[in-house]
Amino acid sequence: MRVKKVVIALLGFFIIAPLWAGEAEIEKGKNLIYTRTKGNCISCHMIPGGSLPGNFAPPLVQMKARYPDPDDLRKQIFDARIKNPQTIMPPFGAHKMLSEDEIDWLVEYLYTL
Amino acid sequence: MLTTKIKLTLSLVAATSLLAGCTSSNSDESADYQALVQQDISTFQTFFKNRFPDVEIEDYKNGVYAIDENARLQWEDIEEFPPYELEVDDGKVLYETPFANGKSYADCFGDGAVRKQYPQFDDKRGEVVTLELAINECREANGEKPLKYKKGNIAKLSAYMAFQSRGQIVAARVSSEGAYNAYMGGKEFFYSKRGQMNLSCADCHMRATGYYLRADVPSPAIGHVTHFPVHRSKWGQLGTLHRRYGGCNQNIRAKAFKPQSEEYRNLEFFQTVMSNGLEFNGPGSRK
Amino acid sequence: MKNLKGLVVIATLSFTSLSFAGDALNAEEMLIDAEEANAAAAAIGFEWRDTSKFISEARIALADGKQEEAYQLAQRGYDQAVLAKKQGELMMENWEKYIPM
Repeated sequence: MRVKKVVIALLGFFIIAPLWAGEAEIEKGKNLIYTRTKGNCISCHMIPGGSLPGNFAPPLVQMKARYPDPDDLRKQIFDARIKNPQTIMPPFGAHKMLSEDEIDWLVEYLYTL
Repeated sequence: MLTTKIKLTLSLVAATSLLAGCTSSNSDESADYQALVQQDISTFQTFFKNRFPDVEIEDYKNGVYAIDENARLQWEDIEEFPPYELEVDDGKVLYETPFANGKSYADCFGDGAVRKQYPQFDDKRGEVVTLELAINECREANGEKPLKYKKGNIAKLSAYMAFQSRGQIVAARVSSEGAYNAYMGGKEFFYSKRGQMNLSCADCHMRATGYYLRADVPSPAIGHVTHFPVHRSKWGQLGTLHRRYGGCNQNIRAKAFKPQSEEYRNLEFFQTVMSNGLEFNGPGSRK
Repeated sequence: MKNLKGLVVIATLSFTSLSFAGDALNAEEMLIDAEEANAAAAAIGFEWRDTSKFISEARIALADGKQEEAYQLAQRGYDQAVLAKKQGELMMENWEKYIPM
């Protein structure tokens, strides 16, 4: 009886956990966008809802349409030099400016834009 | 590696001119270097002409205010009562105060209107001599201790001398192999990405100039050297060009070189050559 | 039984200290590697801003006996130094390709 309760509770947790983590990740990703010492994406990209954005790089809108495969978006953040060696976008992953997790959170947030 | 490349380029140039039959076979070495550099100047200045077709080349002496109309109006207001005025006065006093041995800066620099002579490549020494380096060497030759290079008295002296020299035209010469190597060192520095952010001078001050990075517009690289030292409101005082170089390198998360390091002197030399033809109008005031 | 318990305690203790000794050696080694790598990056003029800070923080942590922290910091310094040198080598060969037209 006790075992059954525990199992149900655990199952419930596993079902809810990913959703709950998703919200938190999106929020963490959003914070990275505006943190100067982290992503600081707003320095070059316009972002809906962000004040005083830069305008050198393309606006961060309709990201799902522009990057249907999240892996492509992830790669672009990780090392934009792969697509364009002369890019001025810092290689956030390759130069360890952001951790793997942090890049995942960014992708999560960008997909909401 | 570099030397080989230079020699190769030079021999190509020499061969071409021989073929064209337009020079004597005993071609003047200095003219060849200056010709190579002249080509770079033209490419460089054309970049900015294309980027900002409405801006006259001469106006780049005003830095970012040549291309940012809104900021320019505020800046012109500030220049009505320049924040560096008192520092220039201080610089004049320093300049005229005799050293312990009775001599003064005037014994090295006359009336101080020598801005256009620096930076220059000193063939005997085999290195670039900047105005600030020359100021300290003047001091040391007269038994005085050298000044620190980023701010304070050296910036005030340099500001006074820049002020005395206003209107002089930038005309840095590259007339020997040594000078060309120093110039190429500066050029390589300027275009090389460095630091954790992987940015070169050219990335912000050519590629991204005129765009907004957050609330700021990166200044155009042409004209960078004309108005230093500058009084930055962020600093609340005057600072030298090499102080600014250091700050820029830190911002892209590269370790800054020391002011007056060979790297920064070569960079200053390259940047000065790129601004040939503009007017020295320092000191300047900046945000 | 009592002897066996004692033996287990001793064995556990010695394993723990062994693994500590292992970490200490590693942190120290990592620190030396980081210093060498950073010197190599600096030698070609491409040292990054924070690398030496990580290395000196690692040295302090090591002196305080904080092996794990020292290791992490030294590793961060090492990774940065290796990337900086790689960047420098790429630039020294290819900088002319980076001239904007």
